[in-house]
Amino acid sequence: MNNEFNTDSTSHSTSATILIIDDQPKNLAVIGDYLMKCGFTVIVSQTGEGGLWRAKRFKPDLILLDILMPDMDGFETCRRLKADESTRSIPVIFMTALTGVEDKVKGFELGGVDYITKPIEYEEVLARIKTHLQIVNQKKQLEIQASHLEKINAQLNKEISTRKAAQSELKKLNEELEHRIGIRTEELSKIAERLRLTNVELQKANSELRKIDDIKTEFVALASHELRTPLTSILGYAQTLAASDLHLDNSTRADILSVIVSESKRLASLIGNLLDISKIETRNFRFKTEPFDISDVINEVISALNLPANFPLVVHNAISKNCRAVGNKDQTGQVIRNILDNALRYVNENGKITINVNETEDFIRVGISDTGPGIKPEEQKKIFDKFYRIRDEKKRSIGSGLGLSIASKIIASQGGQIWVESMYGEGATFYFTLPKEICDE
Amino acid sequence: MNDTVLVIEDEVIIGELVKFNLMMRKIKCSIATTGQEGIEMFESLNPSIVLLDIRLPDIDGWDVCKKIKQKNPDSVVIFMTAATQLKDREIAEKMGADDFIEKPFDVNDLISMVNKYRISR
Repeated sequence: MNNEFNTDSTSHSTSATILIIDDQPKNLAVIGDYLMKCGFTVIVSQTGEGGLWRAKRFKPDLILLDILMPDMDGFETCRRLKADESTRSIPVIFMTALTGVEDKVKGFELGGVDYITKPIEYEEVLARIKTHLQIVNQKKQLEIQASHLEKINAQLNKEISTRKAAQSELKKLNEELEHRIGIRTEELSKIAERLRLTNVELQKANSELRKIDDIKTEFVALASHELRTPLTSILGYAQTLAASDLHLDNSTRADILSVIVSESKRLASLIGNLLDISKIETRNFRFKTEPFDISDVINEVISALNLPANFPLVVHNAISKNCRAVGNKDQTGQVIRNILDNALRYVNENGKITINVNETEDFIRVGISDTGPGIKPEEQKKIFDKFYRIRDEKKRSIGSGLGLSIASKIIASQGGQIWVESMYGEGATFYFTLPKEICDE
Repeated sequence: MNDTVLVIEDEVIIGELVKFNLMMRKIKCSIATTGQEGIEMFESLNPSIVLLDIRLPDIDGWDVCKKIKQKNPDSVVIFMTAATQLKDREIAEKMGADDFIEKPFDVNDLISMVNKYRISR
């Protein structure tokens, strides 16, 4: 039957279902027939109650609602339709014989979309139905689009939030990484600094060791050179004595023998001095430091020299009775002995030696003067060097060249000073100082 | 050149030892105790052989050798030295040294060496 009337071009409305609620069966039939002819599916109800039920049951696309009905009027029916979730969106067109403005306003207020006045003009009905169906359709499409858009939007939002999360995760990772890099960099720079310091220390230690090594090498070279000299004369003179082709007289033989003896003694003392100096230089030997009476030491050294009774050696002691030096007694004795040995070597028969002992605020000063040839200014600088020897008038150097070097090292190790004052040709004075004992007066 | 030996040695006792032994064997000999004195005596004596110590108080033996060889390349220079390190020898050879004898030396070896250079000229 539907197909039979499907002459209308409004194809979209052909599938549309229209619910007509009217208490007048005649109206229902007339409108229903007309709409069916136009291709609509038509459901009818004679009461508001029935209309509500059908609307819920069949979900029509549009409702034509009569206002004037006996049990439940169109307004009430519309109110209920709009109150129900499942029927709220179905457009309602009121049909009314009333022409009052109030009814139309009320109808619109209750949610009606339109109204048509009885008696019905079919074309008008059809036009209004089509318009509202179109509106509904468009609305639906819009809703579909909206929901589609919403979906897309939701998806986009989801995507955005995923990306945001990823980004914040990345940011966090980045920050953590930066933090860790920072910590690591700091650690590395600390390590680098430590390494640099260690390196500096090692370099320092290394250069110290190299210096010590250089000193040792030089010492060994010098020592071996110095030892070879007396050995050469001992060997050479002994061979001269033994030579069968030389017929030496007894006095020459005696002279040669005395040279051998003195050179042997020189060698022995040289070895002793070398041992002393190596002990001082390697600092393997720590000398005990204590307060002592300097005059006692001077007297002991002088008496050990076994000088002739009338030898002109004078000691002037200008220090107070209780004043004592601080250092090592035996080592200080060796300093005095070495200086006196030198003085005795250079003074001639008419010369004399004077020892002066003074005190300053913090030090005791010993000066040993001789009337020997004196020391040239350029030699005064070198005189405390190892193996440096002053040559006498006969160009004959005597001594090991170590005595003053040893003395200077001993005095330095005891916190004192040693120096020489001399006018060439007018003798020399060797001075050394030692710290004074601090005593409460 | 004169058939005489110049000993340049600052250790007088060793210079005297060499001189005594050479003189006793009829070889003329003079002693200088510094480098400068040695060069001056070389000029005045024009010796055929110079016995030279390396460690001298003023000029070292290498420079003395160089100067002697400049003045007379034919004179023989023999180093008497306690310093026997290879480096010392190399320097001495560069300066034109002819021979070496190491301290402490055997006096008989020294005399043989001197005689060898006297005969060979």
